[in-house]
Amino acid sequence: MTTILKTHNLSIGYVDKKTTNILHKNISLSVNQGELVCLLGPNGAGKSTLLRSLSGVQKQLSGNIFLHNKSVSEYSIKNLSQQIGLVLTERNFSGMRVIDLVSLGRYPYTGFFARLTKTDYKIVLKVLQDTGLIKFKHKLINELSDGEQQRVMIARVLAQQTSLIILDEPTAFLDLPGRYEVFQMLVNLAHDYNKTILLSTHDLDLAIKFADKIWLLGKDKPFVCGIPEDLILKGQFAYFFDNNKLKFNLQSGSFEVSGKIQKPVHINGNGIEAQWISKALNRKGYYESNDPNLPINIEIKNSGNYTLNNHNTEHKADSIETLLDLLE
Amino acid sequence: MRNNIHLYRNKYILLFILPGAILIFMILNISFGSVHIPIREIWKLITGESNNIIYTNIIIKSRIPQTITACLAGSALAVSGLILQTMFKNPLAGPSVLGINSGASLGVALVTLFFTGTYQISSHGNMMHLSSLLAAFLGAFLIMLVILFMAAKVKNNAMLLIIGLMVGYITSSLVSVLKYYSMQENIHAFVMWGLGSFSNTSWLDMRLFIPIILSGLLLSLFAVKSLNMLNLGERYAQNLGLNVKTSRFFIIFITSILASVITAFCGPIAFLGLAVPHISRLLSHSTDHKVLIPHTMLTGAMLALLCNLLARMPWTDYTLPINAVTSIFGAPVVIYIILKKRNLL
Repeated sequence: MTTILKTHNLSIGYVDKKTTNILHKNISLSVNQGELVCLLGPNGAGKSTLLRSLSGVQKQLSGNIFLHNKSVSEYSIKNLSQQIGLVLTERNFSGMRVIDLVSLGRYPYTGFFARLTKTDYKIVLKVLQDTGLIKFKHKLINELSDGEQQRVMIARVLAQQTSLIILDEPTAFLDLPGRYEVFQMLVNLAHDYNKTILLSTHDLDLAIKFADKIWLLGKDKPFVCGIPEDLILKGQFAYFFDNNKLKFNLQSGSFEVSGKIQKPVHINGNGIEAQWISKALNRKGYYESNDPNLPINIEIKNSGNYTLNNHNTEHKADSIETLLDLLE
Repeated sequence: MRNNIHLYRNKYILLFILPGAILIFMILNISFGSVHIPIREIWKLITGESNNIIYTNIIIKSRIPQTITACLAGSALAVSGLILQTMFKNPLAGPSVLGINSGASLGVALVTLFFTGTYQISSHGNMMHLSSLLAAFLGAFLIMLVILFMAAKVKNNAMLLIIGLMVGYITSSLVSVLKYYSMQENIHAFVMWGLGSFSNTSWLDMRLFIPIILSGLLLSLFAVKSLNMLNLGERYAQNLGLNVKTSRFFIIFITSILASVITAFCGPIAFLGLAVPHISRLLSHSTDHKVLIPHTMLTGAMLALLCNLLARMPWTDYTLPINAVTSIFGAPVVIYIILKKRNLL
């Protein structure tokens, strides 16, 4: 595997007047070609700053960033623009049309007056085709939906033809299908086109599902990276995100609101119905336990036929809703 | 080109209609005025058959320089407005709004009011005093740097406009202090200059005016690529390979030259710089500066000629200050734009 991006003792932050605000110190990381890396962390941890520093649009405080084993500072701005593509949260469409904005992706390759060659046009049209935007090519971007706008921004960065693509919160403001679509698109780019994708997101479940590697960045916590499953099992997610209101559930791989008094329930039966009953009970402040001798016991006879034994009184229920009503 | 990748529907406006309109307005500008000169006579002058010395004198000494000045001033102000709007990502930016005109005014005021009696600014035939030109440029450039410095601090566009307006107030208050301690005749000259006019450039001035403005306009074409990238914002521009610092300095330099030299020669002209880029965007349906810059130049020249014509009020003995005309036409354009096209920039 080829390492495409590597840092050595990187410190990131910003200089404000005379004070230097260090957001993070001594970050050493590496990204391999063809990987999808998701950067997770709470707001204010410095995710955007890290991505901007890695992409070269913001100067790092100290340390080195290596792109293809060469220090980024040795690249010219133009050279760098052919290596790293960037999608940010800021969106300035200025009354542009789809094709105009995607064409801007070819600018690192154009000359002084930014004349696009036939090859440039071909690449732009190909990208529009691939991203399913060809039917919108002459539309004003402002008139598109949020998801389509994000696709336009990704199309632009694809036209830039860089091996590394860095995206800052590409799924923010999108609806659920939109988020899946963006993630699916990025996974395809990484796995089928061997692009290296680095993105920050707040969509934990999507990141766990799709990412090859996950980076965790938190305030006053050391930088952590690894594959999602390892990080879950090592309790890293819990360490980075847990607080007194939120608990990471190892079983489901998602966060749950904590703080309610939890009562144990034994569920007698397994399969899909047991799983969904367990979820419904979770919401009401119960958790599933393996101990068969508990005061509350639920038996699944067959579909839609449940028996609840609550402190030695037996009730029958034909739906989970009645089951929950009976419990209360 | 077959490939209509850059949707530019109204190419003909740029190629034929605007130059045609400019030509017509130029002829009208030469023909109409307090003395009406028939177009026949103008033709006679061109072909060398004219023997009417009065007409020849008026045309050569007054009408032609004024027409050229209006053309160049319109182009220059409009282009600097366009550049400022793109750079600050602000549809209400323009040389007069951001205080650049007032910076130039301060420079001119310092020279005309402070160094009393050395020369009179509105006198015809005098070579524009080099020191006042330089002062106007320095004033404009200084204000541009202040605005740019502020722009780095405040990301909010509305705030930046307010700062621009405030800087404008500060400079005009300095100007009024200068006025207070100045001699009567100098104040009169300064007030006349402040009303704006395209008729204060003599042929002697032209030797300086034409080359500076033409090279400024030419240089602005070199900013096409940077401006297109800056359409997306500075970070994206940098990621697309733009050296933001250098190009920003270059862009400020051009804008300051254009706006300040026009202001030095013609006085602070309102609204042309603000309104014309919007008209060009509406007409061209383009955000590509390859199209927008030439389009803005031509539209600016055309509208300046039109305003100059209206200001002369043909068939009457009166003239209006050019600022009165540009404001009457410019302000409604801006209101229309705000009402109609919210997402223009």
